[in-house]
Amino acid sequence: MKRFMTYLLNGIFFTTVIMIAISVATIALTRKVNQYRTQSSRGIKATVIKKEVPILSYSRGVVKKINARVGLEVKKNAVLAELDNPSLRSKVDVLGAYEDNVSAQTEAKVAKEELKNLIITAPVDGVIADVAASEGSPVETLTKFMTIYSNNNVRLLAQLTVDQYQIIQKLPEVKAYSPRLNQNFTLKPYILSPDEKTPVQYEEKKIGLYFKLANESDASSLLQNEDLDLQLETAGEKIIKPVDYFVNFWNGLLLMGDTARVTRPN
Amino acid sequence: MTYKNSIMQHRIKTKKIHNTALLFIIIAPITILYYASYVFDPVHMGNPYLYFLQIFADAIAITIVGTLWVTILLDMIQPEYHKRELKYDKKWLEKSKVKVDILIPVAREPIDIIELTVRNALAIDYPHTTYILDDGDSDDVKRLAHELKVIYVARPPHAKSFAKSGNLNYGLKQCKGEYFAVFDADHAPKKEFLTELLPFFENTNVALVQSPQHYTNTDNFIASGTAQAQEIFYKYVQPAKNSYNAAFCVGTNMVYRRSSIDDIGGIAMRDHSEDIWTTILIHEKGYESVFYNKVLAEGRAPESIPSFFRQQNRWARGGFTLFFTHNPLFIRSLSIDQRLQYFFSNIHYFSAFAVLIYLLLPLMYLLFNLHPMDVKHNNGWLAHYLPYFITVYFLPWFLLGTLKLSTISTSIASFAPYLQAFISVFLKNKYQWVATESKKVSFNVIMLQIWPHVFFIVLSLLAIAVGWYNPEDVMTTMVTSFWVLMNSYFLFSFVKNGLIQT
Repeated sequence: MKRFMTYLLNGIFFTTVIMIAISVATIALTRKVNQYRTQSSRGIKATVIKKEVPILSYSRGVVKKINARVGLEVKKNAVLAELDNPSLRSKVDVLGAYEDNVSAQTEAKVAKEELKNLIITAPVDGVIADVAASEGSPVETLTKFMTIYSNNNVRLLAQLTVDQYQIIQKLPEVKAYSPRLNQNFTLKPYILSPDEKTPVQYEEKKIGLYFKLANESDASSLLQNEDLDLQLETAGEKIIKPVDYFVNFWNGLLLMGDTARVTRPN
Repeated sequence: MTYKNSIMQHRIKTKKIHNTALLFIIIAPITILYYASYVFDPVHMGNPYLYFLQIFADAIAITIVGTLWVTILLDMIQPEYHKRELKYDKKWLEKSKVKVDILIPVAREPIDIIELTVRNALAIDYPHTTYILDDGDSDDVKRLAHELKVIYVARPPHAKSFAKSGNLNYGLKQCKGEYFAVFDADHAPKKEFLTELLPFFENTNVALVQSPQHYTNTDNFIASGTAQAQEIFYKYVQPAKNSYNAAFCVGTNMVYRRSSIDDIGGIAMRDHSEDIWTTILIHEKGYESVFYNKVLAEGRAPESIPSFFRQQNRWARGGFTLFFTHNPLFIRSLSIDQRLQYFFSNIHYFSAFAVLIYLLLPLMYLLFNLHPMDVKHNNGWLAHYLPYFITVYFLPWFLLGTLKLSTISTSIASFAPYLQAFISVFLKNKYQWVATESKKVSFNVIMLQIWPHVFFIVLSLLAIAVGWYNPEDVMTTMVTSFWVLMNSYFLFSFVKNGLIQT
């Protein structure tokens, strides 16, 4: 009897100890998986960087009309502004009267060409970033009076931790989610950005990585400096592993993870 | 015998020290300072709470190893003219014909073990009177005493207090000898015991002559681990303490001068660790103690987990009680050497905190990804840590030339009884004295004692599984897993071998 009690008590104690150990490990694993999910699905921002194209005036004159305002989307060759130069125009008129004079005709031709320069068109597809002149104001030769964010060669810059970078390195393409548009974009890793700042002590080292859009036509819907969420898992089909069932179960039970995040619609 | 020879004969001989011990003396400060310069630099701090624990544990470990280093070094470098003078002349013994009593306090130990000790005590080749002081009121012991014609003393039930010290003091009332030797029931003396030790008493200031505890049951796992740890103490620490007149009594295999003990009011009345308290009283009164490093009795180390833990707990309680209630560092009547040596012995038991922290920190990394040190400097940490680790873990190898698994296992596993002792000293729990190798407690629930170890082993294996789910840093995870596996293996072999014995 005494012997039986000894075995029983030992058994109860042993089971209790093992149960406590398993609980600690379960909490740890659930925490770790949740952390990993957060790290891989959220929190990594990729910032849209568009090239700034300056619009210059090639001749002097007065701004007659501006067809552009900040934020306007423009196509290549669209007329952005018209300048006027009355003296040049009258010069053409005056010189045009001397039909027999060859040198006058030549000069008139040059002036006419110059008049063509007074119509300013967009060199690339893009969005007007800045307008520095207003209608009626004079413009000198070769001054920048507009800027366009080009839709060509759009890049996205993300600051990654070493392990995030290692994950991305293995992927051919990465999905990025825009909360503004509620839309997914496909990105391709492009080049590493050079380290500009010296890393701050006690701070984890980050790697800057540039992405390119897989589909160039997506560029028009993205804004300059807009942040997209990189989604490391959605690059391929999301694979549900046994550990996910385990963790989801405990998340539900212990209210540990943010379940809303996992079920967010794409 | 010339004076110088007599001194030389009773100091530990230099050739007994392994060359590796010299190696330890040389490399320990280098590796320790190298590691300390790294770990105590807050630039390398990771998680601040864990970092605090880490430096706390390191400070304890470094202090303990450092005190051992200082003790051995100071003993080694003592110049000849500065060495302690010990009178030792066997002719004095032949002339003086002193009367000696031998006291064997017993408390429910197995009768065959008691019988062996008593028979050996009777066979000692110097005239003496043997007493069995029975605290267990055992008829078997009474019969044995009658059979072997030794004096049987049992305390009346109302006088039963203060365990062994009470028993000894009660027994001393019956004794008339000028000297008395004490043997625990499981320590059988050799026949030359008295003739070897008594000559030291020619110096009338010597109150205590102690010989080492020597364990013969080293085929047992736990016992062999204990034996090796003891070996360091008796080979290096006690001889060093002896040269500062700070060797202390270890409860058995020693001879006391009766008049000195009467002078300090008898054996110190304590529930446990009366040996070290008595020695402190002796030293406080200005008497001397002598440690004679020659095995003159063969004892048995605890073989089962409960008895091992009980022994360690008792020793640790002694250390902690002394530290917190009567800290030898502040006893004015002791010399500075004695104060330091007692203090060094006391702080040994704080190693439990270091061991506990060292066991837990790698688990914190695997489970929760928390590091005490900054991960940025991982390689630097390993480079600084490895030499230090080897110095500390291979300490028995340096000092004894061998390194047994059982030594590491038992010394790691004993963090549990140490901590238990610490807590009970703080809660002022009363100590229930049970002899080291007593049969009466065999129905204990063993899990009550080994649950920290089982918990650690189980959690370690689970932690490794968790750690390898998406490891942040493969190299660190690998090193940590290896470290955790090694620790659990040490604890596992302790538990396994202990359970077989229990």
